[in-house]
Amino acid sequence: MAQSPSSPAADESQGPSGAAPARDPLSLPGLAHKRASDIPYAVAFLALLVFPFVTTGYPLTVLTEILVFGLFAMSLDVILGYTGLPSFGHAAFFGLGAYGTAVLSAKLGISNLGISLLAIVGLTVVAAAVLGWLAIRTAGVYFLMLTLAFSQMIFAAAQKWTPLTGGSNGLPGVRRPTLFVPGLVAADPRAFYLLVLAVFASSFFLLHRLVTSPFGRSLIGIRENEVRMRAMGYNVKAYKLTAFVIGGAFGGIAGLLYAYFNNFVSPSDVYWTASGTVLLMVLIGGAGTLVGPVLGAAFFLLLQNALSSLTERWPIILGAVFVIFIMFVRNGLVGIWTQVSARRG
Amino acid sequence: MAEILRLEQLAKHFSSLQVLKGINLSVEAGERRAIIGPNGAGKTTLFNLISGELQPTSGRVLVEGRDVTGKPPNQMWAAGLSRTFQKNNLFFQLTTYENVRLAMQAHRGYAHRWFRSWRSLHGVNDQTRDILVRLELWGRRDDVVKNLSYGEQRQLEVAIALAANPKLLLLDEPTAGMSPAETARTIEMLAALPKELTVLIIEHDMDAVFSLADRIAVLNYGEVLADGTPDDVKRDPKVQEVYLGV
Amino acid sequence: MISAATLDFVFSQVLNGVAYGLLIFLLAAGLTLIFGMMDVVNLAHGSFYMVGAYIGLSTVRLTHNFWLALIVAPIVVGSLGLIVEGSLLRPLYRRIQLDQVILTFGLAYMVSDIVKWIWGADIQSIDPPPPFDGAAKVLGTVYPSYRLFVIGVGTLIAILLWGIQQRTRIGSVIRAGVADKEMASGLGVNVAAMFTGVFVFGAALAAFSGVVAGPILGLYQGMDSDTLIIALIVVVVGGLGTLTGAFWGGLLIGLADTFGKVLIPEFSLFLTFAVMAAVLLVRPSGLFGRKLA
Repeated sequence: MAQSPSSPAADESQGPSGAAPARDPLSLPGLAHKRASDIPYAVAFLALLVFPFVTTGYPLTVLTEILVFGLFAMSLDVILGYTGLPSFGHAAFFGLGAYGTAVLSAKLGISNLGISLLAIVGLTVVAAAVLGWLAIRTAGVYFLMLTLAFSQMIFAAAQKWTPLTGGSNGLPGVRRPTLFVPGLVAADPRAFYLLVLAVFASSFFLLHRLVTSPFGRSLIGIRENEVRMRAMGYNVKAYKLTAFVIGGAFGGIAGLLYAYFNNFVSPSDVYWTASGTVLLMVLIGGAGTLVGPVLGAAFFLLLQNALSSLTERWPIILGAVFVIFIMFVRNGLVGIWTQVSARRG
Repeated sequence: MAEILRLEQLAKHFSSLQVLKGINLSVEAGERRAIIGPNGAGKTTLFNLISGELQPTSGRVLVEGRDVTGKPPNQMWAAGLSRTFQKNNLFFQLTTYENVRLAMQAHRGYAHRWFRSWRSLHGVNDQTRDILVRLELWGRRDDVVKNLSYGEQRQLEVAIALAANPKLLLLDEPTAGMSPAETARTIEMLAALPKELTVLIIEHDMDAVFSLADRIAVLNYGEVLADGTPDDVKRDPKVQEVYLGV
Repeated sequence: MISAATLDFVFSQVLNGVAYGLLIFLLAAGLTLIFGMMDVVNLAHGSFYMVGAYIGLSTVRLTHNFWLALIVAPIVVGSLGLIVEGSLLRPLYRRIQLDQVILTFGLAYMVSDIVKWIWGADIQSIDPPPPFDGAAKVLGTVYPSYRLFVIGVGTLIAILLWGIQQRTRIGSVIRAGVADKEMASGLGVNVAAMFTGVFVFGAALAAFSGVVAGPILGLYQGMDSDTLIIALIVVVVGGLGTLTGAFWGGLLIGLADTFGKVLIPEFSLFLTFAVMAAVLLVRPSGLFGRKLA
């Protein structure tokens, strides 16, 4: 077997490789499933695309919110679910995105989507690189508390830097975004929803590519056995930092969408409990699955909306669901689904 | 034959405890060299010094004539050295296939690719299959490693080490804790390793040692007691007295 | 020449800081012990504090007896802690640490709404009990006597805890458990009972501090998360697992927070968290913690 590695082109050569197993060697520990086909994704996307033409009004608003928080939860999943970094400060990037967008729109009159996206991604990448580089020097519960401290620093800035952020009153007056040409505003619910869907779907596509790529598998390896990865020659620190920055950037994009959606940003959007809530969404849906966190966000928001008309006590039910999941349902909603279909199939 | 590994007066002290007292060893390319000795003789420490987990107190390690004394594990990995550990250090929640594939994608330099699926790395997947087939783990490729038998997990350790296509393979008690049947299969597998690969193997199982080794070095209290062919070592009175229980 | 008024002001701020610091010490003490012993960051600790405060409120409303509240609240919340530890936390001890931390967060999420359900969302307060409902003269400054009471109680409890830790068998068992669980277990200590004991004690102490803090900090929605964060900072800065750290860390943060709010109001909150981050990066064992292996 003493052959030198072939040139890069050879590895990605044409023709079927019989070597790759039919079953996906798992990001979801312990549950084997057949190679996922793309059809469910296509169907879901079509359904989401058609939805605003079937109904508008309140259901559309809820769905828009689900997509925004679904993106937020997905971005955390890259860091927490795939790389295994217990971040309790993800609201920081959401907040930077939301406040950045709000300041641009409400204070500077800039609501151009392209400019805002560039600004927010730039901001969150830099912030995540700095904070991530520092945080990765720790691990476990210390990493958790450090990320919490960092996000609280951002909260403190949001709360106290009144001239910029409006302080505890928040920042209202965020306009809906304009696209490409001034005057083309995605103002009405349907247009805005389609914009959010476009951003969400593109992000999902990119993140899906990421987590099924060799890089994504490396993240999983780091989560599973960091020491072994290092012994295999992986630069674990660099991978962790990259994952943290990617997660932060998409978290910021979610924040941007939120600011446009809500037209108002306040410090409570950056408070540490917001980091806990998105963590809840990821774990209820199923960490390390990318789809799971989106489902978790949907579950959370639907419950909040459905139950709050029936009872104001939805946090108790949600909290109880969460506690039950943590104790008995290790892999979240996706885990349940996979076990059910494995038993059938 | 070319010399692939040389240890010159390699020593390791921990405070006042002298674990290794000046080991001299020369290993030729393609050789199967066994390191045996009672517990506490310093065998694993010797491996740790060679593979970079520990720094020697004095002495030199030369691989293919180059001084690599004290280099860290990932640099030794890059220099063509691979090792297994006494205690299984695997990805227990992932499949057998993925365990080896992760090592292979790193070895072939594709670990950083982020857009195309891991399935598109045909070279990586083909070579992963080759190794798993060779080590008779192909049938278990979809099984999660924590469900593998202990013997199979030991084999997987070897598979991962081989994925890096090393020139020099260090095996630390590969048959430890195995049943006789598993041990026999492992001996067969080790015997079938490529002839160009140099293998250094720490073992307690004498069947394995005498059937595999070209030469045997006997360690005792941090010193080389005897070093020669299996027959020489068997007949050596010092060795018989100390180790073979005669 | 510093005016008498300024001196008065500084002095009363110092007293404020010390009182606040001792209040957070009471809360941080339980939190740090729970972490030191069980390796759990109990994010429900603020909930114990809050529930204790509200139970104290109800007790005072029903019986007009503040002192009774000081006894009832810890007992009730301690029992709740017993139930939580036994039914929810204990099954998770074999799991990774993060799972337990997240569980406590889910719990806090529930409790926050349960409290809102029972007591409503309005801001409430407990009246300071006589004879501490007036003012007293301290070194020439007029100062609310309840805060002096808080300082007294806080110091008393600190001395009591220190005494227990240093001089009694339970104390040495706890210290051993914090230092090295496996060793302690090997020496015959019932680690499971210790876990339960520490958790229940932490919950009870948190409830106690909730009642004591009632007249000063008030009762409001979100008091659980606000106070938890401060306690977390104290525990980090003082050192995870050490009572001494909780004490001095509490005083440090209490004074820093009080003076910060007065001198640099926009900046002090940010700085507090920056300090927490800095400690985690530079000296994770905190001011008084052991260097981790």
